[in-house]
Amino acid sequence: MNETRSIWDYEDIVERGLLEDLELLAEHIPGKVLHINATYSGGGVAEILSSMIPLLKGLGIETEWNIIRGDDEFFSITKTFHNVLHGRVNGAVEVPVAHEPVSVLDGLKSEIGELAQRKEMFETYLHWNKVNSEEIDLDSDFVFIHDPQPAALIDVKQRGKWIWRCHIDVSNPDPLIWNFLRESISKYDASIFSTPMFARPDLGIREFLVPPSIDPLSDKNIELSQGDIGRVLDKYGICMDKPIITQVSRFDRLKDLPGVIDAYKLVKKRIDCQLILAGGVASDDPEGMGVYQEVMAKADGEEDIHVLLGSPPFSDIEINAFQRASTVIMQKSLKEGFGLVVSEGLWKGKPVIGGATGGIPLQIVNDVTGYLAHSVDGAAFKIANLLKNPELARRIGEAGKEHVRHNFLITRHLMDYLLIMLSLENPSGTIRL
Amino acid sequence: MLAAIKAIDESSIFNHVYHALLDSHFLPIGYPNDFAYWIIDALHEPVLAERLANLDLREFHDTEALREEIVRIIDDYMSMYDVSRRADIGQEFYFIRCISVTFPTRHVVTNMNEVLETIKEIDLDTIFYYFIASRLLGGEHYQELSRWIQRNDSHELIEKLDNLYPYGFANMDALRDEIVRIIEGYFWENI
Repeated sequence: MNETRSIWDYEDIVERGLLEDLELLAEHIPGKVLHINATYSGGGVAEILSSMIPLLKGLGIETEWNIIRGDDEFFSITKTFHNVLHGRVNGAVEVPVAHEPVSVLDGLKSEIGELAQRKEMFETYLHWNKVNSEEIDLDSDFVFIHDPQPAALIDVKQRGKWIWRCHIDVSNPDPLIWNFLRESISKYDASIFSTPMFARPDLGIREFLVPPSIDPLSDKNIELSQGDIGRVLDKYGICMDKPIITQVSRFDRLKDLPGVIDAYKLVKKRIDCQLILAGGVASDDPEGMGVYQEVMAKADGEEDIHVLLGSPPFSDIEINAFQRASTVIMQKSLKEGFGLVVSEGLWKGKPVIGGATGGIPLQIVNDVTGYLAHSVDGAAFKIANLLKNPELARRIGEAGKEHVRHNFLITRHLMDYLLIMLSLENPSGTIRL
Repeated sequence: MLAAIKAIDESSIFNHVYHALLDSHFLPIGYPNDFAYWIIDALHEPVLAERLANLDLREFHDTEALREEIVRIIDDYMSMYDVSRRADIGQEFYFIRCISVTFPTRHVVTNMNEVLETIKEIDLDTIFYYFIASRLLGGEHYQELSRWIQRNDSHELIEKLDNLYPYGFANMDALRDEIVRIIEGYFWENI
């Protein structure tokens, strides 16, 4: 990726002082920066790096972004790593029985049992990391390795400061997998987690906290005209003649889509409105289509429930349009990573109702920048309240947008990365430039 | 928590007492430091939370003195009341250290009018540094600013700025507005 972008493109969005500071700090970053992850597209990490890399280059910092390669077996193994690290096994997630005929817990336990018996999985993982270490030029002053897939590249470190950037919740991982990965991760100079709740106490290296971010100038978040929004909704047969409640999320049990439909149905008895459930099915998630079919069954053909399966995936502009067309946005997850889709909704000035899980409470300050719901009834009550009080919805939406402006934009994220690099160069707690 | 406060790196004390001032808020926060907020939110001890919320930060010129005062307040309370409640799962308090990075900005001033105009537009982190953090972190830069204002203006203005109470503002923008109001008010009085 050779694209560069000026931070001054963000001049109308964030404080000028912040942009000046970014320029000043960038002058003090010595040498070359390298980011490595598993993919150039799809998923939150690639989305952030697509915005971050051009900005680092625009600041005059020599920056490269590489991805690792591997065969299907390697990526199947790393997907399993992801699932069992993400705190899903012992995460005390109560998925309502009515929505969960097949036990996720049993499936994952059996998955872990298989892993224990198949030592060759670890060997395959290490083999592909070795292959990549021979193919990628790792000679940089700062090397950011994202998530577990390329974590073992550290084994060939020659020089520079190496930082393991963890985007997932590893606070409650499967111990077998974690202990295996920890051998590599503990060799890094530092790690970065999104919140203290997702971090580990047993790494023995410096741990920084950097929440993820959205790019207000990306297709997913950029301003759209009413015409653009209307065209997208027309394409999917949605008329904007009544308030729209929307949840954009994968068809995944943990997103509680049946709960969203139940909340909508309670509201619909009192206020005429419509519901959009828009999302895709992850190619590596065998349950996804099952969840989609359950959701379709629950929607039961009701004309004001629009269940939209993005296949191929919705474009970023389409997702943007669904969110901007909404009166209320939902993210009623039962368990969540950081849940950055909440910030996307807030940035559009929409009131967002989210589940009190993962990183959602950091984005939704209850009653101020949105609402946290703990039940279907709670969600329905909040939705109805917002639909009946447009002024309240406007005020909450505005507060949410300001919260994102100060805390969850790419410019803040960029500042955090610059400060971490400076801090690694100057290990004392006080740095004077 | 008390044991950790006694032992933790002083940058962590600084972080948990001061970072809320830098965060953006929409209303003045009732419990303006992390210790007070956690004690009301997770332990439901309003009296202790209110005592910690009421710390007058102008009285402290180094972090150790601040730590001692926090320990004294908690110790006193625990000697009188049973505080055996545990936080629920998910409500644990995470101690976080902070790193201070100071660097020269592009703003250079030569007179009080320029000071005023610069304060109106400079990054809020700079306002935080000069008017809040610097007083605690040895005070070197705040004193430098004070001396400069004194040389260029008068003792009365410095007294007014010294007496500025940083808690209670909804955010750093509101603190900046108050600083601007004080300086402009002083100019008007001395025309």
